[in-house]
Amino acid sequence: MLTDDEARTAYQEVLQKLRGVGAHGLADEIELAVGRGRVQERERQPMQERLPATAALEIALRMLTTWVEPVFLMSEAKTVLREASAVDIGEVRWAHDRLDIVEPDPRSAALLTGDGQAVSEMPQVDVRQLEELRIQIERLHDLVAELVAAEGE
Amino acid sequence: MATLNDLRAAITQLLGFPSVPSVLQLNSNTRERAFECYVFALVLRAVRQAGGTVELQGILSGPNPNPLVFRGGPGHLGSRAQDFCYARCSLNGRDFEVHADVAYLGSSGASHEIDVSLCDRSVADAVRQNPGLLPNTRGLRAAIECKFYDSQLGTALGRTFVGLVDDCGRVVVKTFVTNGRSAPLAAYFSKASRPEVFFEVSPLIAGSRDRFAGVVEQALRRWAGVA
Repeated sequence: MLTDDEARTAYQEVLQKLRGVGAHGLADEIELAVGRGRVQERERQPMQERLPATAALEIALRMLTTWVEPVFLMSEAKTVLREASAVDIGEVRWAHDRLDIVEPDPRSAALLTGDGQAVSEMPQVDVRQLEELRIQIERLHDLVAELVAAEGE
Repeated sequence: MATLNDLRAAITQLLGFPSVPSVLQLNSNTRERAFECYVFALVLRAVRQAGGTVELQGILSGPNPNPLVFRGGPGHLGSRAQDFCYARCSLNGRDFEVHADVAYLGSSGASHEIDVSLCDRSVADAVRQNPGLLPNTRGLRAAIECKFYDSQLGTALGRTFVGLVDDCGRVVVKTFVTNGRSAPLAAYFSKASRPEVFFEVSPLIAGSRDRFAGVVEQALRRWAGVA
């Protein structure tokens, strides 16, 4: 079980490491969720509560592991689509619907990347790497579960 | 028992994995669309499990498009602005289609964007003849709201979706699907007659995705009269 100080330290380290690898958006989202307290929606009366350091750390770790999920989502989506349609699935792209924009014909391929970022930019991870990544995430899930269990004692 | 050093090691190892830093930099729209694509695929799995057929279509290129192009935001079912893909399905004589991120016209006259939807093929064919029109919800059979987990999984999301399906006539599948979890949202959806909610639908969590596909499969079987 972590002490309050250790949990606070670990929480700060997570944010620092995330920013260190360029994941500023996730670090900001975690701080939004945790840093100024979490709004608990109640039926009638929204209220704010201070979060214990362990709970803040738990939220940070859960958000971290969840944000890694898109590579698994796309890998499994392709597998399921292949099984359902019985054809090989190549690349998957996202494009914004520009019905209201008059475009020359043929349309620019640049449109295919939509606004800012397309999932086609998602890093490609092979099956062996996915399995390794899954093991690491499960390890972190186990640690979070221990934290939560210890908090409830 | 977990120690601070155990945690540090696990976090360092995860962040040190080659593709993880770039995955963590994806924007929220990209994460949402990836989750919708995953749910779209699970619905097609449900169709197959029910005994139906599935064929992927590109609105410009026809069967089995490559690449598969999904909408990056709400759009029109009949839009030919890109080679948007959808699935043509048949089940026990019922012909229908599965779409992602398409807007429908509700019974109130308001338009609603539905993350993953299933509609009668006749309705979709008619709309493709008039691409500027929105499909009417009278032909809508399934409305699925998808939400990639973030820190804001509050009951407001549930209320919005309930308002949407109330305006959509009689749909056989109305579900809220997320890879996260939320006690307030679970409590909100627990009331009878509200849409069914599925939490932790994720490739990383065994069970939830199969339960979701199973529930959709059973609803489709009942609708199509499949024994």
